[in-house]
Amino acid sequence: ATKIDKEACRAAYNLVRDDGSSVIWVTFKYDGATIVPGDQGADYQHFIQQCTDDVRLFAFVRFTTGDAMSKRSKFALITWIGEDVSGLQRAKTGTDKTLVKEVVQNFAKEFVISDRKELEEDFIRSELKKAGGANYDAQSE
Amino acid sequence: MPSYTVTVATGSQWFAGTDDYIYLSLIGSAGCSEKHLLDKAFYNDFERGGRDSYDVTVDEELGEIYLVKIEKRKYRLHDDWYLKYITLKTPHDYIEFPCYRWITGEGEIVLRDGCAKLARDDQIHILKQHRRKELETRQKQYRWMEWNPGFPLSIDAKCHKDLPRDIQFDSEKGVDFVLNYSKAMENLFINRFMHMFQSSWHDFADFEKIFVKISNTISERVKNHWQEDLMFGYQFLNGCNPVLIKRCTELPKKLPVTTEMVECSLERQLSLEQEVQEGNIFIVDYELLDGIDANKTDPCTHQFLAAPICLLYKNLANKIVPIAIQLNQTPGEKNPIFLPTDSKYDWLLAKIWVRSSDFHIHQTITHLLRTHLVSEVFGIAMYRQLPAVHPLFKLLVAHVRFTIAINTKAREQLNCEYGLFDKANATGGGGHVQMVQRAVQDLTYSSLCFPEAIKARGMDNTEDIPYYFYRDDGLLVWEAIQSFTTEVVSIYYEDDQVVEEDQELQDFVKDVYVYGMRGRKASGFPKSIKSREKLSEYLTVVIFTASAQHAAVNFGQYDWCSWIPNAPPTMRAPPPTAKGVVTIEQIVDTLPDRGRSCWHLGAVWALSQFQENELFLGMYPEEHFIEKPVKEAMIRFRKNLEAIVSVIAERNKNKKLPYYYLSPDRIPNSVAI
Repeated sequence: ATKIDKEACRAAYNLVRDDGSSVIWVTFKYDGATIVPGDQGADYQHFIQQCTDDVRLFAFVRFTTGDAMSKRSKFALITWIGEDVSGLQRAKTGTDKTLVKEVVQNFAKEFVISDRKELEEDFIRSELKKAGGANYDAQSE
Repeated sequence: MPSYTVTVATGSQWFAGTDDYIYLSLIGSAGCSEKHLLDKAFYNDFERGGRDSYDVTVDEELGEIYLVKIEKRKYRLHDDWYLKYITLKTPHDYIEFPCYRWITGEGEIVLRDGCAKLARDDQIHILKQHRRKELETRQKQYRWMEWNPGFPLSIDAKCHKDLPRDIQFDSEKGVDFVLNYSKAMENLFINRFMHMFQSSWHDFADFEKIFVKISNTISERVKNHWQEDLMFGYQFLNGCNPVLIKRCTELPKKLPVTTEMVECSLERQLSLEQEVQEGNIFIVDYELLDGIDANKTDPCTHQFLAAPICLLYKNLANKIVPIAIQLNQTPGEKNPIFLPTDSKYDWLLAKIWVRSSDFHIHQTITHLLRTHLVSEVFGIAMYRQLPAVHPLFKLLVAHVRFTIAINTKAREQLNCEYGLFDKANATGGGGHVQMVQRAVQDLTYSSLCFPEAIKARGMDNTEDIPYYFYRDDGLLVWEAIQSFTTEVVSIYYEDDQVVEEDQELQDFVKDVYVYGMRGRKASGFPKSIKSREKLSEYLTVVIFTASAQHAAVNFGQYDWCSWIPNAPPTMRAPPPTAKGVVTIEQIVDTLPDRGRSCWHLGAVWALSQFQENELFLGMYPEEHFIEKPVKEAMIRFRKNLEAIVSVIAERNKNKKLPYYYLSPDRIPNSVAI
């Protein structure tokens, strides 16, 4: 069964959670049967480049919304499954997301994406906007 | 001190009752109650089929009751309990809490009242939390797995007993394929032939030795008329695989048939090309079988496959008859085009090859892939993404009942290495896996939308193509289901925006697409649903596939496949490469031997049986819904279905070959066999 390196993943997660940090995204990848932090960065476009057709990964991303007077951070949990990912690996992502969620507990909306177009920043932003307060309050525990 | 009357209903299936201790607590807006042991002195509580009431008095005012928590604690042995529902009479209210689930071991279950709610309807924190927790638990229990490369994903469970208790069969024995086949063969008095592998029958009449025992009208008629072209043609419309025939709009290059060759069959004084233009030519192409490996699991018996193309003609009496058959895909000298004017046995053997090919496509594609595996996908996604309080969970749960269980059982015993499937089928030993892998490319959403699928094959004109009862009855049932789902959708979704914003629904649809259909764009499965209309169409696909489509292709198997020469599950000699050499002895030596015939017969008999206590379309004895508008919609649904039953019965009157597979009183709610 898959394991997760909780400590390392939590450190990466907290980096994105921290409004003061320049890191706005981090990926969680498979190292054999263990989920570990992958790349991280300050530019969303660089994150998109990680999402290739043969790759599956989880990502935690911070988006800043609102105007200069009242900035608000919103977080997205993204599961990327490339088109060429095998059935076995594809199936695993569905199960292993529960492990990632043990670390990533605060997000406005989660996405399962296998189409590059849906990774576009505008799309994610508009979906996050819609999500508003209608999501489960996962933060409350 | 407020006092409540709690009524507890235990299931009536085997082993549903329990002797364990059952505790109840109530969770309300103003607080939680203490744990109460539900127990009456000198009385055996929670017996199978029982309905017991208890008075529960609590110390403090609880306010509005949101949840009921049930805990089961061991008495002596672990003793599973099937709880149907709980009702609660409060000082000013009466609340129903549907459950319909097993509580196993030292288990507990927290129930919400029966009013269906979308996520947006839940504002109270503990209710939101309950919703989320349930899905978290389910997603751990219901996991996707890849059975074979390229297949739609299925449940992650090695065997039936590894499945969550709620989706297991009540008794595993009832669905043991090995046991059922053996029982069938015993009942059929055919076990004396069972071990006679490699031993051919003497002639066609010899097949009657295993046939006579359970004859009914259709199979008997098949036996008496199977060699006739009319009977051969009829099966493409109303047999158990009525989904392949297409109108031919252009003669394929790979079938170089000329007017001269088929002149004798054409009745309108037109050339073949003109007949094509007039829409009188139909085609069935078994291209998918080209290059599939034949079964090599028995070194003593060579088995063979072909990939025929069959051209059919609608004659002046509007009947469909075969006019040309080529047994493989590439034309050539060694791949002659067989014609009705050829010698009797040449033509007969060519037709037998088509029937055998049809059997393979039927069993593996039409039946296994396009009903069983597709229904399982919907079932897994439903359990993973829709909480029990969601109206669409309440709607769909009856239509995925036992489906994951039967498929798990099939993977365990039927379609596995050295499984039953390998014994008598020419596509056993891996061929059927290759077939599914190819057929997945054509597994599109629109091909599951019944009216569209019929249209895509050019078979929709009822005046032009009469006697297509599968189409006529299927459309009636499709419309009845669609008007039912439309009603249910309109009760819970006041407009399209509510549909679009129902995240749980969107996650369900996404799970089907990304996992079930492996994110294959060409599948045309929606990734999201944006309107009420699209939602009811989607739900209609789920329900129709599980009920009507499966019934149409499953329950006719004994009728059409029990006469072995009409549906040979294997062929023991390669397709003929020349005309004028075939003899009756060769045909009999090509057909399945005695042992394989018996296994086949056992299989089609077992598969064609309804379950004990079968639930037919529209029967919802589990009352997940408690609201009146839905219950009324169900009543209207059943009324519509009853009307269809009468229409079909009237149409079938005095017919020698009645078509009843899509009569709603014979359509089970879900794929369970």
